[in-house]
Amino acid sequence: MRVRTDDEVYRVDAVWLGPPKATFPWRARYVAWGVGIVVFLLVTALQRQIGFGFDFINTGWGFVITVALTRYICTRISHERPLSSVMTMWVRELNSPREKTSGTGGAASAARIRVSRQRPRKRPKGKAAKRSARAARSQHRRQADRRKKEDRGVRTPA
Amino acid sequence: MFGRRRDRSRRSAAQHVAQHAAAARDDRKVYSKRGRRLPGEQAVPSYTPSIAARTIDGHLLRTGQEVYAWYKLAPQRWSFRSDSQRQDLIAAIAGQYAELQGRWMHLRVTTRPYPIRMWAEAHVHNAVRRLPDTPGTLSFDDYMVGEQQQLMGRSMAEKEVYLGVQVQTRNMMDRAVERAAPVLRRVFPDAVDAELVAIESEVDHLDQVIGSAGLEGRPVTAEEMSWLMHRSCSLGLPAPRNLPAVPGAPWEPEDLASFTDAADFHQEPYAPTVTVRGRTGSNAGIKRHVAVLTVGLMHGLQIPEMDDPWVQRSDRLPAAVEWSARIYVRRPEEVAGELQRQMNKVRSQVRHYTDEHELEPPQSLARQASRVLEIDDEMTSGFTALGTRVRSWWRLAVSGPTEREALRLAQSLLDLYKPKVAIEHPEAQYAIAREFIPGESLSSSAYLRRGSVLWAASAVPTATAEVGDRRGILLGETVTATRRPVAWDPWMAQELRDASGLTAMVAGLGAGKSFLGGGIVYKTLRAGAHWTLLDPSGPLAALCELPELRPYARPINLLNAQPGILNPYRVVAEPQLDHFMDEEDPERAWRRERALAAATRRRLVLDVLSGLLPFEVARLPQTRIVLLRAVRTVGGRPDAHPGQVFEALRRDASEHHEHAVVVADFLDEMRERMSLLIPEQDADPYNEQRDDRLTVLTMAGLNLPKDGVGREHWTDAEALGVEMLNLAAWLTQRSIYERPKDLRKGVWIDEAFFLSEVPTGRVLMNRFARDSRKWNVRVLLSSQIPADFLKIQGFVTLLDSVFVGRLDDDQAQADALRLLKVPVGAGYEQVVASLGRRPGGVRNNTERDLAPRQFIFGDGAGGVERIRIDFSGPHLEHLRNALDTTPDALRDGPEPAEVELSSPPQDPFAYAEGYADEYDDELAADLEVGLADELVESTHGEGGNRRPGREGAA
Repeated sequence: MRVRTDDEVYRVDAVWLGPPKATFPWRARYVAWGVGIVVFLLVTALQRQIGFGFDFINTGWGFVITVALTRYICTRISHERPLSSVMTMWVRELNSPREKTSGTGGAASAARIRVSRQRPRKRPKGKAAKRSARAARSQHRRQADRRKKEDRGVRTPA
Repeated sequence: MFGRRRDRSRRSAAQHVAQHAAAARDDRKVYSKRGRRLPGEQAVPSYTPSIAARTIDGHLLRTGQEVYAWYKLAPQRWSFRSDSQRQDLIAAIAGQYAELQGRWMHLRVTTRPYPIRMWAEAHVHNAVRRLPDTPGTLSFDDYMVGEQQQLMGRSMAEKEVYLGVQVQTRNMMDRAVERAAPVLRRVFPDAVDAELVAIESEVDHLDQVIGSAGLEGRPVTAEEMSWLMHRSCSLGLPAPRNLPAVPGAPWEPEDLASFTDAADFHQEPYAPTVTVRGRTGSNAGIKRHVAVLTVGLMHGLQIPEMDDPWVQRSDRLPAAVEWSARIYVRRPEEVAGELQRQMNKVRSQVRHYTDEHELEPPQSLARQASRVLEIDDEMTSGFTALGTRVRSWWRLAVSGPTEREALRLAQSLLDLYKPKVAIEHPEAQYAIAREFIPGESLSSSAYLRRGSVLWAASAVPTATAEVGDRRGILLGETVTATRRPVAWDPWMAQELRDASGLTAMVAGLGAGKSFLGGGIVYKTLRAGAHWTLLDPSGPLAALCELPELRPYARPINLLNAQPGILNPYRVVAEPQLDHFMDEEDPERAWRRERALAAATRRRLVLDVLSGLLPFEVARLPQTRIVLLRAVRTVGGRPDAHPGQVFEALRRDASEHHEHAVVVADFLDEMRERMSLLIPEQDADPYNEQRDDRLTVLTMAGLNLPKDGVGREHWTDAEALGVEMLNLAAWLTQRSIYERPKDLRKGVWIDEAFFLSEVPTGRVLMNRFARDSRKWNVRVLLSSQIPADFLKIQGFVTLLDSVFVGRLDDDQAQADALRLLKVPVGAGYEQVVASLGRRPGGVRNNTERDLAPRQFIFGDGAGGVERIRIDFSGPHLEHLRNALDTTPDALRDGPEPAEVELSSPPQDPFAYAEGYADEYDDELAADLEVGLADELVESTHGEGGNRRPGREGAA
């Protein structure tokens, strides 16, 4: 049993040879004409943007560039890879994830977290209370100082 | 992992950073909409899988847009089937595809490593009453380790084919309900399941379509779905050793993380491969480069006749190839419109060339026009839907540890498909690699393949090489398109399938018959079987010399044995009453069996005696009459012997008295040489009971007729030889009944050609076929010429399994295929001729062909495959040496087989040796008078299974 695909049917090379009775010396597919027109417009727009004037020479050069670009694009596309899917694949290439060389995160650090030995308590009222509070505060300061001394010279991660 | 939704993952990363402090504000807003939650719960960020799949319920996989039903397709036999059978298979698959009009399908081919551990477990579990280990020799455990290592070295994988079929597309309502499911489930639980309930009948319909003959798909189990997801999300990585636990309930989006987190993909722009990096489990830190290819243009293929199914072809690559195909089955009206457009395009082009420019239009336009008409005709003619058209994209992926390795494999895949199928290497590797994941959409429309369903069906991805079972001894591997290990349990047919235990082994000289049989015997002995071998030439006695078998094995040279050992009355076992206890009426069954045994004895004696008479005398009608009468007089008692028949002949009082005396004289004349048949005293030669695991009966020195020589031209010695061989075969059969019924027993009769030469051969075959199942016996019959077996009427129907080795004769090849029940004349004769032959004729090679021998193995359960016998593990070296029957003058020391041949057995239990001398004298006398001229040739000079005169035909 001979099995084959139907692909041949869909590979009709639709070419435009030129206006009737005036055959161009080249054969270009309709898609090439389409691409060529778009490329020509783009090239001309780009020329204006850069600052080339609209004269015969510049347009001639624009035309040459268009032909070269169109030929290049048309070598990239075929019945197998229509223009639309080549463009899609190009977008896909741009969008695909890249290898991550720099890691995020790193060592966890608790350096920024304030630690106090005692939780704050409600202040008692009266003279005695004021005195004891003052004593506690000074003790706390002394302790904090000592801790600073101890920590000196020890590198903490940023 | 999959970075196409990078914005989303970036957002989730940001959430991660902030989650210890507080949930991001926008998240809180989202959660507040979703209804009440437990305090603190809002700190958990939401998870959206980076793949398209959202939930998996049973075999239904839902993405945001579609519901797919996934099926696992059954493997299909392909090799050694007739073309019409293959065409039927393709047509059946095409019919199934055609029924799926308007749907998308996703075909996935993946691999699963051959479950070596499972095989070993099953094998050890199955090895009941196995041989006790002999100290200082290869123990059973070491043997099993060796077997597994040998398997592991092959890295063989089994192909699995899955098919996803689109059930329907999902609408906005379905998606909204799914989003609201956590709330809805509490308020209105029926609404959540409503979507799946609504498609129930459609899913049932699909189950039925895919499940019918052809694809034979069945809905995937949770474990299989998990495997497929895993293999797709970690494309190209080695198979995971530990799969994540399969949830019993449906998979929620959060569960899918177990697949997507297992690996991540990345690639450089326009890189030829995509890199897959394993992150969890056994693949953590492992990197693979995956080259994704796609099927390009294709020539016409002659599928069953000349070409392999085009997807199966990739099995020939020595590495696993993953396939992913997207197939859309088109509706006819859609295609008709398109064809019309194409036709118009062609016409306008032709007009443009000829009318407007007066040029010759290209030939291709005419061809295209005719092809359009052809397709249109295919689609409209006939009542079957085989003209239905599909659009499809076929991708393949190969992977390697380095990019170079992956590209090398991709190149060899390209070469494999040349020149008929073009395999392309497209850009956007990452996007195409994602297509392999169930539920993902097609990444680009490039490399679209259009064709009929028949074309799509002719890919037959399920075609595989399946033969043997999963618990038996390892024989080797298949060598057709697919490479799989072949295991065979010789007792599975009797124990599970209720089939007979008859196996034919046919191969020419030096094709590896003894090697294969010896390997089977050795391996099954280790697994607990009992074997009795009848090997007329004798080299298999070397098996008894293997150190681990020596204590349990006994070689017996029948020609040196006690007189009467081949007494035809004794070789047929007397039925025991206790063997019939499971019958309805044990007494009656036993009596019937006894009567049958007595009749068999009489028949056997009659055959043997008439076989011994000169041909001219034997064919006289009165000879048969007098012999029959004498045999009947003696009866069928087990303690009778042929000597009594001679006496009965002399006492014959009928009108043929004189002839009877003449016959008796003839037989008496040969009495001297019939000492093995007639016991001297009335002793039972089998009274001594020994529980030997392996008994090898040899008949070294037996004179057998040359092949193709008619019965009438046999010499007396040859006739005697054949009859003795026949009786020895009956003796092996007797050994069956001495052991318990359920015990696994084996009988191997080498040179079984004689079965077709003697009338009782068929009786013996019937007995073997009948009792092999009841008594759990595997009967191996080997011969060099398949016609020997075919001559026995009804033999093929009794056969269970078949091994066919290389045969050179055309007729023999056709006969071998008949034994295999494989179509004859379909070109398979060539396969038989080429088995195990080295490619390229190296005719004058001075080195031995050490390539593993190949056989076609029909396992009796429908599988027929070409296999390579592989006992190459280092743990089996001593077995290989013992079974090497090829003569080698340069070998150090005497060949073990020849030692066995020339020296009488040293076994203390061997029968008295005095008889041997007497027999040798007899031989010498025969030689002197020229009665046994070819005697010496057949024993010495050539080791192994060489039988003079059979070389020509083999």
